Amino acid sequence: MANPVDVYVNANSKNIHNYRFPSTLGSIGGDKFTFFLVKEILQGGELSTTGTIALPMPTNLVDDYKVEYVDAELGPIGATAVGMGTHIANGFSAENMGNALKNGLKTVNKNMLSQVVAKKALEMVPGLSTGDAKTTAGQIVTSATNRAVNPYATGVFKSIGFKTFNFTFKLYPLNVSDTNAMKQVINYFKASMLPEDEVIKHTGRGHGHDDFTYEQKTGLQKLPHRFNISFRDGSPSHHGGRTYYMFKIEDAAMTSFSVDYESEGGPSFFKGTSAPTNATLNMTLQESKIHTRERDISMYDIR
Amino acid sequence: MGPEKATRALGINAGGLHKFPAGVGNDKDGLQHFMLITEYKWKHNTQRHADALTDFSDTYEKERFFESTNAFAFYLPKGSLKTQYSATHGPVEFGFFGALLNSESSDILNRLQAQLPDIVASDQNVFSKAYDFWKTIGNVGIDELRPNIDKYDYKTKFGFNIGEAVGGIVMGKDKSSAVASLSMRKSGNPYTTLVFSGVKERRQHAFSFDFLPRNAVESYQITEIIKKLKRGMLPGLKRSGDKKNKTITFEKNILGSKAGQNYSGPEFADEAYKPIKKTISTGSSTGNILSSAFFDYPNVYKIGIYKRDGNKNQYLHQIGQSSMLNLKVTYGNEGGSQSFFKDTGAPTRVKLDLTFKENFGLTRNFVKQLEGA
Repeated sequence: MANPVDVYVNANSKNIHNYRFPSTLGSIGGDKFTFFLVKEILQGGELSTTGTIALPMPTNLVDDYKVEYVDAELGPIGATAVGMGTHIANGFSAENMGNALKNGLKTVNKNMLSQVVAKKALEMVPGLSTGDAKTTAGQIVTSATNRAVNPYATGVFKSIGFKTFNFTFKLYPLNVSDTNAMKQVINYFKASMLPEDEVIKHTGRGHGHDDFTYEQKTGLQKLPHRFNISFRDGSPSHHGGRTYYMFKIEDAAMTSFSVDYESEGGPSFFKGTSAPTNATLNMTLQESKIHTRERDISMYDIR
Repeated sequence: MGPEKATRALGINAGGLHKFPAGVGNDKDGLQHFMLITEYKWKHNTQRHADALTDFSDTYEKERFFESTNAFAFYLPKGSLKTQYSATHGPVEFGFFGALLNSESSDILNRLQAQLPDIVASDQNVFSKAYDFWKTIGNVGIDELRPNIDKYDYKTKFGFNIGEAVGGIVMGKDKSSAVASLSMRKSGNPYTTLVFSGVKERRQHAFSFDFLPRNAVESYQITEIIKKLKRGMLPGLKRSGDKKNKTITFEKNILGSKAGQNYSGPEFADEAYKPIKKTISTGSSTGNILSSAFFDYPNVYKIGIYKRDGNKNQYLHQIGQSSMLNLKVTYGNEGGSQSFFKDTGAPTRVKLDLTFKENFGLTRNFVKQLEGA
């Protein structure tokens, strides 16, 4: 049976930057693995695959969705306006607007009006408070009447942030081949998450009239690469091996990448090569598109 | 079974019910008590039965503004049966005049109420009546306060103010009251009162479910539950502009239909997928489509603790209409080694953390309506 990592790499990348750890990943049947598709941002925002990285499964697999709501105290007037606004928005016509306004006027009642008026009257008393006279006046009316104005506290949808993911990969090379694979993986992650200074090559002529080339930095930078991440179940037959049960990440920027070579209590090295015996990779990725209902459907239902 | 009875009573389509584990709410098996999370989508409703303020409150109490979409029946997770109530009260320093006004404000209010112009009835002379009303406000306040000023220790207050003024000549304002206090061997009564300032905190409820599927069907059920929940809690963002569509063929998982026929895994191979044709928007590739400038609101939820007979457990607190703030799925053991089913690649453990926040501040009316007390 073909190595599922090979199958998937060949299907997705025509580049030379294809790395994996351990070097034997996928050779044992049923290996689950994490697959990184590294993409370069082209002019116009299109993405082009520049390489791939395959690693074992990370130690933490968390998919977190957050929706932000803000607290709003609308008060009776605000709540009335919402009630009227809903009416108008649901059927915009002159008649409907008229009905909504009449509907709004119905909410003006004697009890509420007298409470508000008493508060206003007390606010005008000079020297009522050394602090906020408006607040004190309101509290006096509340205290005296045993009735408070309903704040109509509610939650208002504000936004949805970009999804963030943290992954930890623990790498333990078993031989020189694995050591080299680990180094390549780390180097490629570093190179992909960082910007690149743009350089123009020029040809010049020296005093001896010999042509030479030199590089000039333009002061501009190419953007860091983006990452698509999926979790594969090790079987090439299952739609490229992406497991149906797991989440995936698309078009994400790597905002943090750390390598710890002494995660096992202290530094240790192989005798022959002096290469570290282990490395823990911690990375933070942030998707560049907000995750809405429509995006979720297009990511998971249409493949 | 309990969940089916409960959803029927709530008028929710049985097809929208998702359960885990499958036997939850069964009167023969364990797990007789269960949690039912019902999901509702905003419904355009131009019918109005009351004034705008009552309509606003009704959006949280009545279901005429929402239609049900899905229902989720789960076992009761550890730590789920707790809630909290809060009401904000704060100390307020009324001071001398404030306290005086406070003692008389009830009478002031009554007199103002009696003299209110008939604005509500849209009287023809509404403006002239309103003018008269504002003119009388000052007189009412003065009338009510005047007889009381002599009764209280107003002279001492007057002296205290003089002391403060003298202190203010030689030092800063903050120390002038100390001078007055030491001179007269009296300290001003701040007339501190505890005043209710509203229910500012809305209740939040967090649930942590630990799912341990035993076969491919259960793995599938969990995946579908997560998918439905996250699509309900996310906002919608449609595309606007000139749309161009194209028809694509994609492979749809059909294990769900097999699951309905007592399909027992763990087989989960290519035959579980079926090619389906679908028309989709080509999106931004045409260059003339933008995402809409507006989000569609996420769906809202109601949560109840039910008994096996499908009725709410009336001995427990009830939770009102809420929004889902957070949905967190942890696959396998967080920070530890991961384990997956050999045949399907599905994780052997899925932890689902949900956080809800009620959409309104509690009042006695809401609690009565929720709990029927």
